[in-house]
Amino acid sequence: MSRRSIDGTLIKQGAEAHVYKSTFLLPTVPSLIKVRPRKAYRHATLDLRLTKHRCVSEARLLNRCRTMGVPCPAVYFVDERNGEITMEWIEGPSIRELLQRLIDGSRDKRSEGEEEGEGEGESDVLSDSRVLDLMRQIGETVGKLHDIDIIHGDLTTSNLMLRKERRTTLETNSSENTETESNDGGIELLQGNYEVVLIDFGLGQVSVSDEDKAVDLYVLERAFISTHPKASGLFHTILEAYKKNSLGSGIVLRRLQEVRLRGRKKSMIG
Amino acid sequence: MPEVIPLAGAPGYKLHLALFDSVSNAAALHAQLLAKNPAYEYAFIDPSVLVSTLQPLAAAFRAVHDLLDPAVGLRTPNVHSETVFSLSPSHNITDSYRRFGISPSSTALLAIKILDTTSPTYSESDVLAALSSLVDGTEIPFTTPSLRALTDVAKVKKCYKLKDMYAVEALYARKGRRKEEGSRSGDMVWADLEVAVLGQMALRSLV
Repeated sequence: MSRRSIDGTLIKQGAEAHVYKSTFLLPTVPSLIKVRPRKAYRHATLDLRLTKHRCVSEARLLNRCRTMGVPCPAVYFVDERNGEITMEWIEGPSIRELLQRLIDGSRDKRSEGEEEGEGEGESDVLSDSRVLDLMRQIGETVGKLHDIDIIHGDLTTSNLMLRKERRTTLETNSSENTETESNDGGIELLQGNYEVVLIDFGLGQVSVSDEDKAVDLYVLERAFISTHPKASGLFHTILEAYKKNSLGSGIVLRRLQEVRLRGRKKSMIG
Repeated sequence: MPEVIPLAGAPGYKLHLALFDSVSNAAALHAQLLAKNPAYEYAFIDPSVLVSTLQPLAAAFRAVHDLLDPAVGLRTPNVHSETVFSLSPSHNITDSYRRFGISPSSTALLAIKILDTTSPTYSESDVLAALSSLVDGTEIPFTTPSLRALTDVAKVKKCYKLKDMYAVEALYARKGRRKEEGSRSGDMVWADLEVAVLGQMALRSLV
């Protein structure tokens, strides 16, 4: 069976899926299409079932989160036989990009004015109150997610995005496109209102288990440590906000201690 | 004037639609639909369940998408009834006609005609003329604000099973925590309702 071609530009390609930027129904409604391509090496029937299952579960999770009030892309259209989800376009950098920009930016600044001490610029920018506010918001958002018993499954800084202002319409005016230039900025993005948006629920699941929630946090912690060694201290602020906001945080954080000692994999006892 | 909207993703297919208020012949139209009169083959939608222009467009898109995909196909007699059915978050066809289609007592309606414009017999002016003459009522512009003026929000929430909207806040409130988010603007509430509805429609097929 031939697949119909996707109207849009490919913006990212991973092992599991291809991601296109496109529009939904009207040229003024930007959208993102996540396609799980057919795997030729798998038996056709099995492939269809796996693709369909993953696509459906991701769409359900996104819809559940969004309806219940956790910021994530809204689902516009699902074509599960072709493994396609059309969802809301989120404009903004990922937290990973943003942190990288902040760190790079402060390094550049420091090399210009040489009298400053070694490494100081970086820790300066990362202890900026606006960056800490961002971390608190990440903690709150993850806390909300866990309070509705959804496990993200792949909480990394690339799967957290920063969106300036909540949209009140799904359409974009052409004039708004000029705002992309402000995206080169780093810390200015943290001025004023913004929200942290969770993306990519491909590995997500619904679960009430504190073990799963703790592993979610552990994955985020590892992501912070491995992608931004300089930023690993920020994770502490995230946990504080999580502790303060999430209803089941006590038990989850206790569990996190255990997970840290043994790693992500569950022990197979019992 | 009725509007013509090309359907993205289905080249050749166009929607011809008009929104009417103060409709006096809904009972007659309803009877013609029940009699399956081909001259009345339109998607007649009750606008009280519509929250934005995208919602009926998404339903029409789903209908045409299923029509063109040989592996899926229509589950109702034609693409117009399928459009009404596609608005529904459930698989019950009769129920979807009742909730989302017009009733004999309707006073407002959205009429949609979906046609393949590459067909040799297609004439846009004929279609639009037929659309305007069909309904006895006042045509109003097909825009999100004019739809929202006709929306019955409680009915939308019921039809789309949106009890869970803002469940996180409700949960926190139950635990005695104050809302720290401040108030949401009216536009934001509409936007949230719109995406919740689109999501419920999109997920219908996935049971």
